[in-house]
Amino acid sequence: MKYRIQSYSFLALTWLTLFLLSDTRIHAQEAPQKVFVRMEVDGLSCPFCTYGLEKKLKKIDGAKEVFIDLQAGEATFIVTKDKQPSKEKLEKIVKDAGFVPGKISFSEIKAKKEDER
Amino acid sequence: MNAKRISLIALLALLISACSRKEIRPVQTERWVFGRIIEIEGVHPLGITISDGKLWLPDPDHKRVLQVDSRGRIVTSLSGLERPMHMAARAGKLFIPEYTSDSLRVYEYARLTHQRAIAQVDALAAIAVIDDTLVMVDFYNHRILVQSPRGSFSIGTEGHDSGELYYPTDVDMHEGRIYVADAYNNCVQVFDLLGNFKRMIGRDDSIGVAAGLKVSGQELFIADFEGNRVLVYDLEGNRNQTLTRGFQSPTDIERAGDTLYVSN
Repeated sequence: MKYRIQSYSFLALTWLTLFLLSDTRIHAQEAPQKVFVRMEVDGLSCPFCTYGLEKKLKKIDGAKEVFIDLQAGEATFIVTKDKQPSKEKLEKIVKDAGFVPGKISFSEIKAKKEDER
Repeated sequence: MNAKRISLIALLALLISACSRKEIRPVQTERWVFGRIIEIEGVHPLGITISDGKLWLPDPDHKRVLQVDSRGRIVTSLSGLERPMHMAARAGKLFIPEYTSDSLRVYEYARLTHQRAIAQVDALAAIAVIDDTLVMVDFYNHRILVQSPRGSFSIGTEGHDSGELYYPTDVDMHEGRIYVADAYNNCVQVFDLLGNFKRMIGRDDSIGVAAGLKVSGQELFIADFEGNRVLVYDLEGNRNQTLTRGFQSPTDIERAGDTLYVSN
């Protein structure tokens, strides 16, 4: 009887371990949903403006690949869906950086599986 | 007459440029005349500084500082810098302000020091050094910071009147005066070493963006980024010449004897 209980316990532990490993693997393959943010910015005149706005946008939690196009008057960056800032927050950042915010758009980027990266 | 003509011809303005090759233009009978373009492939220098006779250029697009020779060939590249801006050279040292990390790096003995954070600065845009005094441009706080062993203080507050600054971008020191490129007040403002306002230069000359400056001898040079020109003044603020040939969007000026370098 004692031997049987030990066997069942061992089997349960094995299944639990396998389940947890399997669950972890699923999560590792699912990249967080990303959002591409594009903002029109009026008043970008020189490199100091460009890098100044870049500096401010990089402070947004989770913001990556921040790029300022001086000629186009446009700022873009990528952020995960769960950290997507509001339009109001972005407008304030642009204003505080010394510029006039224009149209702001968010578009989702399809998550890639681990082996596609 | 002959001696004067020879000296005028010797005063050449050399241009650092990343744009396509342009023909050498004829010499004019002005104090500064166009000399030639030094092409540097794929580089948009935001400034220019001479240290120990060598040309150094901050290349913030690629987060590096370059030393180039007279043909524009890259001799040394200091990489991993956080958007380096207007630099200064003093006693064999190259002082490099980092715009996005608000830190100062120093290059000496072929070695780059660790970042030295400058407290309470938002976008360190430029530095000037004389003896033990550092004068730095705090772009987003619209002020100049002066640091020396005797103490520290700031010059300027946000505004548009005399002594007030609006997004300053460059600084230089000369004969007891601090010259500030007050980019979006479209002028240069002059202070004494205690921070007292002395004069405003170029306010009536329709400067687009006063992105950089240089004071040398009895001349002040202002790089008008948006106006595609370099304005030359005496130290009283009288405009003597406007340079427009051969460059676009000038960012800074450096002088070595009778040669003027303009980064663009």
